Amino acid sequence: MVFDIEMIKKVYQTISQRVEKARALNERPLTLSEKILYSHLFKGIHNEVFKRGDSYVNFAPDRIALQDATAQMALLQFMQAGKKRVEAPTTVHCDHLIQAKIGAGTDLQNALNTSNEVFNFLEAVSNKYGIGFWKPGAGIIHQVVLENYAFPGGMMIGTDSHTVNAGGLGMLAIGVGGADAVDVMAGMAWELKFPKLIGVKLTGRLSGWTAPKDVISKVAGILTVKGGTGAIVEYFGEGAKTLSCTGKGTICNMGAEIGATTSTFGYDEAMERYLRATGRAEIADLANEVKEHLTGDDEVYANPENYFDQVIEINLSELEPHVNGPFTPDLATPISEMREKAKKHNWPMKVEWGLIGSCTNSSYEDISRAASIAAQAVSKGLKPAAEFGINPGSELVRYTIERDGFIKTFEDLGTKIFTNACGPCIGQWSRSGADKKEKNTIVHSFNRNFSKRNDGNPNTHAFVTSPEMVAALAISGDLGFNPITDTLTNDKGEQVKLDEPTGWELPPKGFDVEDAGYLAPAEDGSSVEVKVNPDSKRLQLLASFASWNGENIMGPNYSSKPKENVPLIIFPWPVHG
Amino acid sequence: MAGPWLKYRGHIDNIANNTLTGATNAFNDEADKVKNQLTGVVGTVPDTQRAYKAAGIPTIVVGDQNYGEGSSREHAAMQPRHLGVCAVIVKSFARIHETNLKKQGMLALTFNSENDYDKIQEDDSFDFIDLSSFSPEKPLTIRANHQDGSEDLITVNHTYNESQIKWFKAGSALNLLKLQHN
Repeated sequence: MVFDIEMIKKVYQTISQRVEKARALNERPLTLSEKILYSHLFKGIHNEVFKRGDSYVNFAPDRIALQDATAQMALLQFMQAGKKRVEAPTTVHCDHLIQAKIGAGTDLQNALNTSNEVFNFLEAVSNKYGIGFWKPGAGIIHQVVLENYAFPGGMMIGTDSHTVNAGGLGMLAIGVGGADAVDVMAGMAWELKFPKLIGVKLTGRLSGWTAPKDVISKVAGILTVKGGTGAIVEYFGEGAKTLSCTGKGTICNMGAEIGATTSTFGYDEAMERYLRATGRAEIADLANEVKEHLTGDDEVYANPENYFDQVIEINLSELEPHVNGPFTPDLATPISEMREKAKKHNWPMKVEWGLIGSCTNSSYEDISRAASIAAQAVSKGLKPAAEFGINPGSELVRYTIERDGFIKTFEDLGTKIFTNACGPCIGQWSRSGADKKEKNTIVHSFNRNFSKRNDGNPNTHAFVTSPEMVAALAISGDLGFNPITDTLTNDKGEQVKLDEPTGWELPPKGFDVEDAGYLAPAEDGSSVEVKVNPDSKRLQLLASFASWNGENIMGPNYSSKPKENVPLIIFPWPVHG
Repeated sequence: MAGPWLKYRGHIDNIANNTLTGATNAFNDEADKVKNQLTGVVGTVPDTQRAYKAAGIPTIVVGDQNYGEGSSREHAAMQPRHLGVCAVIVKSFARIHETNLKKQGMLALTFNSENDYDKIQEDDSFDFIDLSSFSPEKPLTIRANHQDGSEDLITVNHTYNESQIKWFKAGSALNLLKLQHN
């Protein structure tokens, strides 16, 4: 099913005129980022050239996504705006309030027992105000958005920092606070400082053990966790076209880890294939008609240094698998240097857990490549030294990888399959023994690895890498294991090597799902009642804040009777709270 | 993310118990310990705020540089507002938080002279003496009344435009929106 096709048609109908106007105003070729920004101005067309890193500009994003933690206050506020329906297409995704512990079935039921009141509230508000609702277990917001809502050349905001994942489908997708989302849902403008632009030129082609994750791991090492602040990162070049759409999503997702406003790629054949595979051929056909506006101008990509504030070049053919961490995602180490570096810094070499999934890396391609490594553990007589866990990104992916046998491959290794939700990636992980605070190492395919993030233990050394490398490191149980050169001892005492990962960009038999977990809102929600128990500890309807009474705000005369007369009170804070 | 407060994201009064509890009080260099001027007792920030709110006393927060950095969530503005804070006066703001304060109908103000930060004492009371002429690009004046009977007039700047001043007057941006289409 194609959501909000009329909105998308409108974007594509106006994009040509808006891009040409912006090009004329700027008197030069345009980057993709500029095309999307200038075609989403709140007032349609402007006669102003905006200054990067300086001008504050009002935009009109095409859509909004909210996750279940941030949606609560956003929707409570929206209910106060007096609107009958949201002014821009909006969705709510229940993925944060589910703790990973035993496995999908039990964990999901526990989440329903604990937070059903919140889920029911979000469902009722969504139903009333025309918001698409994705139930607990339907999947992680950013994967569901990529599969259903992202479209090339669009602009969206979401109340989560990894909203930027949708850049994989050629959008500008930006993480915001709830108040900004409420403004756009209520039909107001969304303000953003016109970003600076960082260009990343990709040449060559990935091969063997390298994956899209290694591109962003490398970029994070170059730019650091602050290097992208206030900037959009735009990827281009022949190498970019060789990456799958979901691989591009991984790269854009972790743009959040370098502080970037967002990241994006120009529309290409990989995106077209993904749109068609996810039931959105209609969007692909529409995008093809305006495709020159859905990527940067040729002159920009030929001479990027003239058009970007900073340019980085990465040759995918020379890129090595990276393992980033511990405690920060920008501490980038090529796997060939890991053993020496880990010893030097006294990082625990024994890998205790390998976790695959999250919004960052849970595509069909990711799971199929990781499964090709997991399958070798069985066929080559290797018993995984670490525990395995998987949190699939969506029910669409989970159902399809189960159908295609990958879940069984992992289960044969004793892998825990967690709910299609954020789980360990956001610390929603009841890890056995974490309370002992022992020093230990885990590897995962997630995006963040700050201290305590995954299991609450400040001594857990978490490393970020690709799903296929997570599989290899978890099987070997050795942080320094380089699958390109090293061998492992199997159950017969033989030295065996792991073959390079193989997989499919998209499922050869197509995606499939029984119940994706979507609930459409009522056509007319005016009769839908939103109930909140006045005794609830989790939810409270908001009362409007008092308006100003028009008087100066005065503290009483303080000098006469200091203990009885009451002044305005000061709380001094030299640092933020 | 999954800290103890995650479950209260939809309950303003409960999550308000996490308001400014991590900030250091400049007068005692401790976090979450402020003097209740009604009783003289030192208590937590939320408890002290609730005592003022119950007594109908508006309060202000004074801060240093880059106030609100990392607090982009609307809760960071809604919680103090819920507890009765009417103004935040700082040397400088993180911009997103400044905007969020405006949206919640609060006064987000910066010292015209940063040295005025040091004039503020723990037992002061404050008067906003020219709010009736609140307008874009025009600084406001605050009178700090000290315990010893002396006072300082402090000039504070703001970045409110016409429509943002309407947010303040209406009590919040959403209040204004509601007024406009009803």
